[in-house]
Amino acid sequence: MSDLDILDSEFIFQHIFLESESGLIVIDLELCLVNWNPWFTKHSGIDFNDVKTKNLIDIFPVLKKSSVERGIISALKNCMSSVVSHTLNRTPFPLKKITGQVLQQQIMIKPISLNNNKRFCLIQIIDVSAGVNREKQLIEQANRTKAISEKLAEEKERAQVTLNSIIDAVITTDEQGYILSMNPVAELLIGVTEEDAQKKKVAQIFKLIKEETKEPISCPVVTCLQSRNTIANEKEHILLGRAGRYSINDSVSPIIDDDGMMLGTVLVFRDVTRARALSAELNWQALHDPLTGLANRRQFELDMNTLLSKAKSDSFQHHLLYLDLDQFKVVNDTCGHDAGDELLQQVTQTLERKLRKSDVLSRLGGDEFGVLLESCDAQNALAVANNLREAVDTFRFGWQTHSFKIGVSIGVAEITGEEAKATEILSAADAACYVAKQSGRNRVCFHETSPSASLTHQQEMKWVSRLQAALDNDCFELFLQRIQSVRCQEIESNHYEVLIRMIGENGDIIPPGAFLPAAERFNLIGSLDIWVVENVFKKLEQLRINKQQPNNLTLSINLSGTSMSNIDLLNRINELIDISDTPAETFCFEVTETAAIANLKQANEFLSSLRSRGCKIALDDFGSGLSSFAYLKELPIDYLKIDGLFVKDIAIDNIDRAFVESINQIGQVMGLETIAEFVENTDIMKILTDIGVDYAQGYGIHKPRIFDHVFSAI
Amino acid sequence: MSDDQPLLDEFYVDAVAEVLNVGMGSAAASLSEMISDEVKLSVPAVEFVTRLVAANHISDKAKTDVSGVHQNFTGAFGGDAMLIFPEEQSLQLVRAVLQQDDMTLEDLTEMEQEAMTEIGNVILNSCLCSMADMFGKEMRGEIPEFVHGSVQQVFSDEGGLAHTEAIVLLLNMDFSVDKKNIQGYVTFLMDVAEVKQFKLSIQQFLGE
Repeated sequence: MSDLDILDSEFIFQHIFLESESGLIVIDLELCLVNWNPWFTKHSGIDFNDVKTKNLIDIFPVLKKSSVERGIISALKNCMSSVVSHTLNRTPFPLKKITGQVLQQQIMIKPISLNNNKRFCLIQIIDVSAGVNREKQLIEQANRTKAISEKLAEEKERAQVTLNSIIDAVITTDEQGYILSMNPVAELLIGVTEEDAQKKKVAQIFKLIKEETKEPISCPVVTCLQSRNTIANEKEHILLGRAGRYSINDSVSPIIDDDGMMLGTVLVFRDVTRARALSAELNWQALHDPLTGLANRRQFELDMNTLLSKAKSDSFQHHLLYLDLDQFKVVNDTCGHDAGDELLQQVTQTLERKLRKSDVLSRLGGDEFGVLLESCDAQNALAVANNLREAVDTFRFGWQTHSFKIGVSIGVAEITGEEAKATEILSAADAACYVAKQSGRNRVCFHETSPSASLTHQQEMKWVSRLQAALDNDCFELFLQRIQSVRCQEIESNHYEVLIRMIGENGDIIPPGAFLPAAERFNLIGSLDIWVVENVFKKLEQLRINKQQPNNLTLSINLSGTSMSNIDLLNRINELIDISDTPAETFCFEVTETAAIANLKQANEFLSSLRSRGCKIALDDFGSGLSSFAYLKELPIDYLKIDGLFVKDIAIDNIDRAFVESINQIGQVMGLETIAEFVENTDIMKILTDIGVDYAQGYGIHKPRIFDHVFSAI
Repeated sequence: MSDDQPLLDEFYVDAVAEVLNVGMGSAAASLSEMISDEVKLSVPAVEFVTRLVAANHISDKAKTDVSGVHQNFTGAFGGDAMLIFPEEQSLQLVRAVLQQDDMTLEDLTEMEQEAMTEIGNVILNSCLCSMADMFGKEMRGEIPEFVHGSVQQVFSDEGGLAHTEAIVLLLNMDFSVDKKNIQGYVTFLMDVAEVKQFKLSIQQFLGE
C-alpha cells in the first residue's frame, strides 16, 4: 500500500468515525477517554473536548458496576467482546434523542489490540429506540389480541354453561344439517351423547311422530334449511328418544350471515310431557262429567257431529237415545244431593251394563242421559232402549232406610245424515222423550222421523190436523163431573170438574185419552187450555143470561204443565175474570202434581197469581208421582186430589187405603181439602166417609155430563 | 479417528469440566448481579464428540428448533463457541430472567433475542476466560450473535468450520433461575488441529 493509499485510507476511516450513525467511544487501558464521535456528542450533550482523557466511569458515574463496566474490563483484561442488551440494561449511558426522549441503546464492547501491544476498548452504541417501540406495539397488540380471545373464550364458556344449564334442549347444525353441538338436555332426551352425535345428520337421531296419528314427521331442520325460515311447532309431536318417548314442542331457526349465507340451524325443543298430560287431563275434564265419568254434553255433541258426518256418507242407520230419569227429583229432594249423586252413579253402571262397547253413553245434564248407537237400525235401537228402560225399572235404589223405585223415559231419534246440526237430533230425541214422559213415564218413544214409528206418527199426524180443525171449528164439548162433599152427601154439591170431549166428524164423542197425548206432543195443549177457559166463561155468561146460574158454584178447570209458563194464558184468565160477573172464587184450577213439580217455580208463580185474586187451586193426581209431601208446602193450593189409582181399590186393598188415609191426613194437617177420584161405588164412598176425605168424585157419584145439560136439569 | 477410541482421555475431560465449572460459577455470579436474582449454573457432563454426534445428541433432546448464541473465538486455539437451547427452553429462560411470565408471544421477540445474546455472551465469555486462565494463554472472543433454526442449520452455519471435520466439546448445562430448571448445551467446535493444540494446552496445564 502506498503512502497516498495509507493517507486515503486513514482519511476514509476518520470520516467513517465522524459520520457513523452509531455512537463510537474509544478508551484506553486505564479507561480514559481517547475519543468519541460526533454522534455521541450530539446525544450525550457533552463536548468531547470538555472530557478528553478523563476516565469514562468518572464522566458517566452511572456506569459503575454496570454491565458496561464489566464488559469494558473483560475486553481490556481478557480480550473478550461483550454485548450489553437494552432489555437487561435499560439506559446505560444517559443519552437523549433530539426530541428529548430517552435513547434506547444496545452496546457492543470490543477489545482493540494494536501491533505495539497497546490495548484499547471500542464501545459501540446503537440506537434501538425504533425496535423497542416496535416491540412495545407488538406486545400491546398481542396483549389486546390475547384479551379479546380470552373474552371470546369466556363468552363461549358462558354460552356453553348457559346451554348446559337451561331446561331447553338445544342442537346446532351446520348448513347441511350435520350436528355441531348438543347440550345435556338434548343428550338426555334423545339418548345420544354429543360425541356419538358428531358427524351425524339431525334427521338420523331426531325422530318425531304425530301424537294423535303416530305418523312420522319430516325433520324440521331439513324443512328449515330448505325454507330458510324459522319453523316453530306447538303441535303435538312425540320425540322417539332412545331412552323413551317425550311429548315436545320444537322450533328450528336458520343462522344466516350478513351476506345471506346459510351457516346452519339451531334446533330448540322442550319436554312438555307433563304439561301435555295435564292439558289432556283438563281436556278430559272439560268434556266429561266428573260424577259419573261419562262424556258430558259437549263431548256428546262432538261425537254426534262425527257420527252425523259419517251418516252423510255411509249407508248405515244410527240412532240416538235421550233418557230422562223419572223420580230422580224425589230422591234428590228427600235424601239430599249425596243420594242423588249416588243414584246417578249407580244408574250409570246399570245403563253401561246394557250397552255395547261401541255405544256412547253420556250424561247430558241433571238426570238426563244420551246414548249414541252407531250402526244400529231402528228395531235394534228400540230393543236397546227397552233394555235400558227395563234395567232402570227393575233397579232399586237404597239410601239409608229408604228404598226408591225409579223409572226412565226414553226418546229415540234416528241420525239420518240429513240433519244440519247435532243439536237438531238431540232436540228430536228430547221431544220424543218428553212425549214418553207425558204418556205416563217409564216408556220408550220414537221420534216422528223414525221409520218404525211411522205408523204411530201418521196416526198422530192425523190427530194434529183433526185437533187443529176442531180448535178452528170449536168441535169440542165441555162436560162436567160433580165433586161431591162427603160430609153432606144428601145435598148435591155445586162443585164440578170441567172435562173436555172432542166431537168427531160423525158427531161422536171422542174421549180425551185419544187426543190429549197428540195435543201434548204437538204443542196444541196450550191452545186446548185456552179453548176450555174461554168456553167456560162463555157458558157461564150464557147461564147468567138464562138466569140458570146456581149458587156456590165451583168449577175446576184443568191446566197443562206447559200452560204454567204461558203468561198470555194467565193474562187472558185474569182478563176474563175481570170482565165477567162471576166471582173469582167460582174457579178452581187443577194442575197435575207431576206437571207442577216439573215446572215448580213457574207453576208457583202462575198459581199464586190466580190464587191471590181469589181463585182456588187443586193439585191433581196426587200420589201417582210418588212425590214428596215437601212440595205441598211450596205450592199455593187449596185442594189435594188423591190419585184415583189408590182410590178405586180402596175397598179391597189395605195398602191403598193406608195411602189414602195418610194423604188425607197430611192434607188435613196442612189445612187442605182432599178430593178422592175414581169413586165408583158406595163401598168406596163409605170408606172415604170413614177416613174423613172431604170430597169425592167418580162414576159412582156422577157420570160426566154435557155442561149445558147439567144446569138445564137444575 | 475411530469411533471406539475416545478423542480425549477421561482424565483430560475431567480437568476441562472442573475448569468450566469455575467459569460457570463466575457467569452465574455475573448473571445474578445483572438480574438481581439468584442464578445457578452447573455443568453435569462434558464430552468430546464429533460434530455429527453432537448434532444428533442435541437433536434427540430438542425435537423443535433451537435458539442460541454463537461466538467465535481465537487465540491459543480457535473455534466456535455456542450456547444452545431447545426453542421452548430458550423462551422459558429469557422470560424467567426478564420475569415476564405472562408473555403472549410464542417466539422470542427482537429484544428478547438481544437479551438472550447478552446472557449467552456472559456464559460463553466466562467459559472462555476460565479456559484462558487455565492455559495461561490469551484468547480473544468476538461479538456474539443470536442464532435460531434446526440443529442442523445452526451447526452448519459455522462459517469457516463448516467444511472441516470439527470436533465438539459438548457441555450439558443446567440453568436454574426463578424456580425454573432449564437444560441447555454449550459447545466448542474446533477443527482437528485446534483440538491437538487444546490437548497440548491441557497437558501443559496439568504439568505433564
